[in-house]
Amino acid sequence: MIGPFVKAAAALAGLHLLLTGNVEHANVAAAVFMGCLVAFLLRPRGRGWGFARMPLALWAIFLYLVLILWDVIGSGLWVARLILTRRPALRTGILAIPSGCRSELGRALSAHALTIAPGEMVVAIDEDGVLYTHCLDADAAEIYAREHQKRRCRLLSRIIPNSGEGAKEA
Amino acid sequence: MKEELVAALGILLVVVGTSFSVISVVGYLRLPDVYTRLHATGKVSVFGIVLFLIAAVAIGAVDAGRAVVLGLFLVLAGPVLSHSIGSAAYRIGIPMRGAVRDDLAARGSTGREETTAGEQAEER
Repeated sequence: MIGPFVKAAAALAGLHLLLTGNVEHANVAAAVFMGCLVAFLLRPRGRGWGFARMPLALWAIFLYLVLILWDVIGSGLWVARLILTRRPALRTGILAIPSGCRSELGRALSAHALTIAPGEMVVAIDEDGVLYTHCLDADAAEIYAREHQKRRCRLLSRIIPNSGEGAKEA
Repeated sequence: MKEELVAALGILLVVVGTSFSVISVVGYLRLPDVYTRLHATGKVSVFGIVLFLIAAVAIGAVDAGRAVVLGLFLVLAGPVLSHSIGSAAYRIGIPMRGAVRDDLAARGSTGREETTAGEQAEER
């Protein structure tokens, strides 16, 4: 249990130093204290990452971040265009989209990524990992969201151990 | 010359970012219900603020590393905020205007109760 705690505390302390941009002794001490405090509150658990799968996981993280960034740009432009349309063609609805992930972290990240995607916003998650997603264009999202979710799930299964496909279909 | 170009790029990004922020407010006024409005405020404004951050880096007001971390926080927290408000709105029964489909209501009518993350943790 010490290993994950130390890693989380060190990462949080590093983040504090990066954000403050100050490496004076007092600030380093404050960073270590804050890192330990937040790590104690979070109680992190080890994820069992082996060195053998690390390159694949790092590549998957890079692809996942690129996908997220693409969705941020795409959704900003798509919704802005919809708002500026004289009569927005809204066909809203809440669709059930299977997350395809077994772990809670995988489901949470899927919900986050789906909420970033253009015209989609997760409003509920059930115990089977189905994401109930509010869509601005329900007809188009039916196919688009499911296909993208499968791709996300494949990436997440490479990033998070024991998070492969396995959720029930809606 | 190079510094002037970078400054001009920064000003351009500020103008575009401001435009997106204004569009998100227009969306808040134009769109019909809380769920569609969350799309406007949660996505367009986040995109606008990301542009502001890039502009701040170009002008030299913020370090690139700090801007990346702030951008990541923003992209991480924005959708969570939209989800929380949307989920709360659905739970207290705020209706969707002109919705063509509602799978969550259909699921509720089959007798299966929706459980929150907290309730699932308690069950475990």
